[in-house]
Amino acid sequence: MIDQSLYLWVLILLAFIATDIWRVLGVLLANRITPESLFMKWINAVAYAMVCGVMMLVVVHPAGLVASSSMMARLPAFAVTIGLMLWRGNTLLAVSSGAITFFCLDYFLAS
Amino acid sequence: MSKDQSQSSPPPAMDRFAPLSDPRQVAMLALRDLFQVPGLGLFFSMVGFSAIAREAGFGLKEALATSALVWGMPGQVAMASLYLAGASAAVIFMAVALANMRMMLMVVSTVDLIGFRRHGTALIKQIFLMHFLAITTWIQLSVVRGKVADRAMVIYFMAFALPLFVIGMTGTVLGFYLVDIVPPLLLKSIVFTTPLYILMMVAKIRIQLFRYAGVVGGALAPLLYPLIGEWAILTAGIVGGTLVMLPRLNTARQVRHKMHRKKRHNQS
Repeated sequence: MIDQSLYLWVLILLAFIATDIWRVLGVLLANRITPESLFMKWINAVAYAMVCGVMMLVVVHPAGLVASSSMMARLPAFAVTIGLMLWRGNTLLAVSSGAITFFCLDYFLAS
Repeated sequence: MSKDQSQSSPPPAMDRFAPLSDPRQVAMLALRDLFQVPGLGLFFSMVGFSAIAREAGFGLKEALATSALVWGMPGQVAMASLYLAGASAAVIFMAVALANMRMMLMVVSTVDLIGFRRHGTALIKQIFLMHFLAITTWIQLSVVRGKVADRAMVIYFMAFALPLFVIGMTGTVLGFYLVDIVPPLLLKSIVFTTPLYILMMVAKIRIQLFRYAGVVGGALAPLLYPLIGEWAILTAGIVGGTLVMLPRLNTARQVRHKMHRKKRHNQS
């Protein structure tokens, strides 16, 4: 049991290194790229594309808690959010309506 | 930001309000912004993480250490779920590295936004502060750019990111026990608000180029995921980011070409 808990701590340390290595590289890289350059713009564009990719994966192929929900709850919730955002431009309204849609659909689909 | 863009569409916030630079006002603004959807969303994301971590066999100490040391949701979730699945240390390391690779690009973007280089901030201090960077903070910085004076951006960052970290740790601790009280359906719905919120924040970004990059990346990742798994994020990012830059590259080449011709014309 002690071995198992030690192993978990090693994994936590590895996960820390696996994440912060990118942060350190990011700082080093940022101090070498010319601000306002096309390359800086490209990096930003890739960052936005990656973040949206990560977030859309939660909607379409979720891991963790959301994994136990139905796609038929997630996609309509996403559509409601986008629709309200385009129609009204109010983030709070759009996001909370999306969450409520998700809650209701997941509730009815599960029962 | 390119000059042509700021000329064609001046950000409305800049016209009406002078950018804030008073440290206390900037810090207050950051805290006001924090204790709304961003703080709440992150709190429940961490509650959600804690729930999976407990299920995977983490103790409270282990869950808290993971949140504090990794501080990047996709990597944390990948770690806890792979540990539960009994994956090897090498597989877990690779998966976390892949899931959190976007950190590098976010850090580059943030260092540029805050202007660490212009202000001559020491590298070690930059690295320390960037440990506290999360998607939520990065998006928030893009939102307030222009509302906060350039030299005060670091104050905004600290007043936003550091309390957000405390909120995250609180969420991790409470989540460990909250799973017993809060119905899973409710918890799931609150966790689901974070992707919706972040996606809507990208949709609101003033720079069209980045919005388009987000749309392409967001559309590609779920399509690629069944084929290449975690690599989908990296691929979608590079393809999305590059695709929207192509017209730009072309314009830059034309400008360079024109300048070159002019120079030749002047010489003759």
